[in-house]
Amino acid sequence: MNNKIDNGFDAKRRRFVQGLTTGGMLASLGLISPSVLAAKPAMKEVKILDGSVFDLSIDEVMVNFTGQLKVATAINGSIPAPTLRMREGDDITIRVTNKMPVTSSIHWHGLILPTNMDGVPGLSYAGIKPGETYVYKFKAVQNGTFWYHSHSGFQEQTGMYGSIVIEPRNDDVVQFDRDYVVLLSDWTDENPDTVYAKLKKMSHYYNTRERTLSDFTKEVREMGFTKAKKSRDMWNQMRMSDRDLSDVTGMTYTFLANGKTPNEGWTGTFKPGERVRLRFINGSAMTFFDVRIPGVKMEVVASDGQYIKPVNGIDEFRIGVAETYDVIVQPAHGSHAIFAQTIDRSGYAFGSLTSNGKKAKVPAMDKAPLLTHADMGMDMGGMDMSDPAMAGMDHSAMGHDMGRMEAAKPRVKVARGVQVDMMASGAQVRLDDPGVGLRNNGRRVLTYADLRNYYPTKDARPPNREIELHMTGNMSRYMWSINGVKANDSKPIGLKFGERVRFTLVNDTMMNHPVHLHGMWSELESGDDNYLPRKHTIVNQPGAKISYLVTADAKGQWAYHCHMLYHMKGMFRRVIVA
Amino acid sequence: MKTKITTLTFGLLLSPMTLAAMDCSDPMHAQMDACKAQAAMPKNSGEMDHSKMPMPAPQMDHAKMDHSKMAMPAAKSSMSSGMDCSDPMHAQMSACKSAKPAIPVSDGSMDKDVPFPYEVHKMEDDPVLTKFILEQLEVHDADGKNPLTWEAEAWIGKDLNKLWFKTEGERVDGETEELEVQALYSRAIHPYWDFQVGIRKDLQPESREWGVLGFKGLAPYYFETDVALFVGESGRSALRVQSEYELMLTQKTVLAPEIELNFHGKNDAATGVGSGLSDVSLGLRLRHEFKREFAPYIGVEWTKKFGNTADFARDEGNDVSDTQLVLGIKAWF
Repeated sequence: MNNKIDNGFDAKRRRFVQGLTTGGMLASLGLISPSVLAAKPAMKEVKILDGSVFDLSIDEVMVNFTGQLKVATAINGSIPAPTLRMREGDDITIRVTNKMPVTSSIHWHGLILPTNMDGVPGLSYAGIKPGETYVYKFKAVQNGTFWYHSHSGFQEQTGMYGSIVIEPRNDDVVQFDRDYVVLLSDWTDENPDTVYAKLKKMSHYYNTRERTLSDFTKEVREMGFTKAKKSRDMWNQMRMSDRDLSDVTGMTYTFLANGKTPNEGWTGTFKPGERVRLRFINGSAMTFFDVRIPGVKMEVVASDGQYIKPVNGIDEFRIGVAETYDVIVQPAHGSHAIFAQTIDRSGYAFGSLTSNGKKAKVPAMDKAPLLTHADMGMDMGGMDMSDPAMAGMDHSAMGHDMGRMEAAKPRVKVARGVQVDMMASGAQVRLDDPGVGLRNNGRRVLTYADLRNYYPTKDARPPNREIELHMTGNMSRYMWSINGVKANDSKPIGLKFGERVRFTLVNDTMMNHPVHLHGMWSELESGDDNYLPRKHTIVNQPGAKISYLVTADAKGQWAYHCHMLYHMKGMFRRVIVA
Repeated sequence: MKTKITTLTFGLLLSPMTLAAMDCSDPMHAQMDACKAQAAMPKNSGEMDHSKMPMPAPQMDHAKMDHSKMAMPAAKSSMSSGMDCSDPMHAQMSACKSAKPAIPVSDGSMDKDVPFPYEVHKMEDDPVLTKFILEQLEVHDADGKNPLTWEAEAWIGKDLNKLWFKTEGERVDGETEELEVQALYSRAIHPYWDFQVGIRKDLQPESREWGVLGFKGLAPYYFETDVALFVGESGRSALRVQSEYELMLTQKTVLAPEIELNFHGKNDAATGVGSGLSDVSLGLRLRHEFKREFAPYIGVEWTKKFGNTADFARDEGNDVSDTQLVLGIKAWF
């Protein structure tokens, strides 16, 4: 199987799981370290725990996703962690015991609960110390698809994530015959601290498809030297690359669907005619996935666990880190691939939906995309539209008119300096832009402009003020910040209890930033104020602007951050509601 | 797109919607020419002549639209009155730019810091790291002598502040003929540039000490550049400019042209350098990165001495200009 395209990747590393019994063999040959031996092998199956009282324990386990035995951090011994099924309205008790030698934590992503139950060390509690048990108690006030993960260090990357399904108290508004969680994630054999250090030392370390000479000669052939050079000028002057789509790629990552490598392939069965509900969760540390089921139309019914007005006929959707989408499919008899290729096409997660017991065929990945000037938030008014970099963009679909765009000058102070390597002077709201690599691909791709809450907006008040935040960074030094100020140097954001506030995000970087506000809903201004979809994680596309409303209805200190694991430590703010 | 337009048409047929009341905040509508026309209106549109308003252009399936039900807005109405400019889609419109309800904008920061409720390690986004870089370790093919030369750097520190060490030198026949070491404090002063200050010690061919002031970073067009001014004893001074470009031939094969220029303030006969431009070297190295951190290379280096430096060389019976093949490795960790 060709897992990678055209990037000089070492195929040998991809000899996936030979089965966990190899562990014993290698151990007897003295090939693995004692710390690995101390950990128990991970369980192969992900359990579903159902009820209102849950016992979870965090421990190190031994995993083998790539042919190499590695130590992972796991909840109840499996990666992903068990799926927790609970019922809306129930009082939930979750006892979490930390059996690891380091402090840990679990955050219930997207759940509305008191701040001391939110699981963020420093804000909710001091974390769960080694040997300690923390008892979470909260009421399940919502229903839908959510997830949970460690909020300590890089433990999420090493396996601490699982799904939460909360069944509605009353009849479900969506009819379905089968229900599967599809939890997507990224695994690396490397220590995440090493990954982070490598990015700091060489930010393009994991980019295996950088521009080469032949790309330029090809452009020269196509459009002549002058134009080819001109189209390169902006990038070269900025010292940035239009190939820079992911910080961490398939060079080190193995992408998992429900904990299964592409070779293993997670499989869900169905009977022809059934309506199958797939609850997609992106539990990755750093990976955006473009998901499709070739030949099967999807009806998107929920976003971030919240019902939306169903969007029919969807071929593909992009799922940002930490987002969830629920879709209904009604596949024909046979086997269908659930194909989740990464945004940079450096790999994919794969599963099968089957009515005949066979695994589906793995589809080919799409061509790796290039970033455009729009993705850099360039003011396109003065742009050469004959530029090939722009050719792939359907400007009319971007909801703006080229002639009249005005530079979006920051309305708040953005500390310029080492922290900030670019400003998106022409950042535009691009709700109906499916994003780089998905534009005009011939498929019906879900966009944020499609999202309408199933229910009317609860808080109809207009916002009384606006908070503008710029997602800023220095790619080459691998530093991330908000408004040019990293978390450690920042002051908290203060919200008045009960107020309605607009958050406007401007992405002054060339990376996607999925921004997650804990404790309160982020109501995306997707086009109809009466039906604002409620999200917990809002993707701010490169060089784009986006806004959402928040009702500050939860007192306390909350975490607010980019959910890219290696961006988060800089791109983090405390939000204090008082 | 087709389905969207049909939906839109359908919606318009059902509701006796006026253009004025049309919700241009809807992304579907926002693409309509009627909406664009609104956006195109002059900013101070209070006294607008709507007879001049462009009608929707034909490229959107307007044939299906019942225009009889679309009343034109009352003349001389204020564009801004019925429009929800708080909406992000509207916010882009020029009409909104002036009419946007004035809600205060801020970065939301609290005036004072508030302590964390619980003891915690702060977000450690900036760990102390170390990097060792062997830029060049190479053997020269030069008339049987085959000197070994190196250029290496190492740093320890955080994002903004680092201690930086540099060394370069040459060994011929087991003798160290040139050896220079630098210890610098390096401060990031720009997204792509570090300011470096410290000391340089030459151990061979003569002992010399210098103060160092330099800038190191990435110039536009990806030129990795290091410019350093050296100030020594007895009024000696020197300037070194180094720049390198990496041309990727494949994802693993890199052709790296490099230039180095050295200038000196005054003659130093003992080390054989003269005032002015003393030497230039041009290198071209082709390396293959077996992994990011390790790449052997083959290359060619051309050097030429100028002015008094050239004279010193001639006096010693050395070549003024030379071209050598090099074979070496580049590595970092």
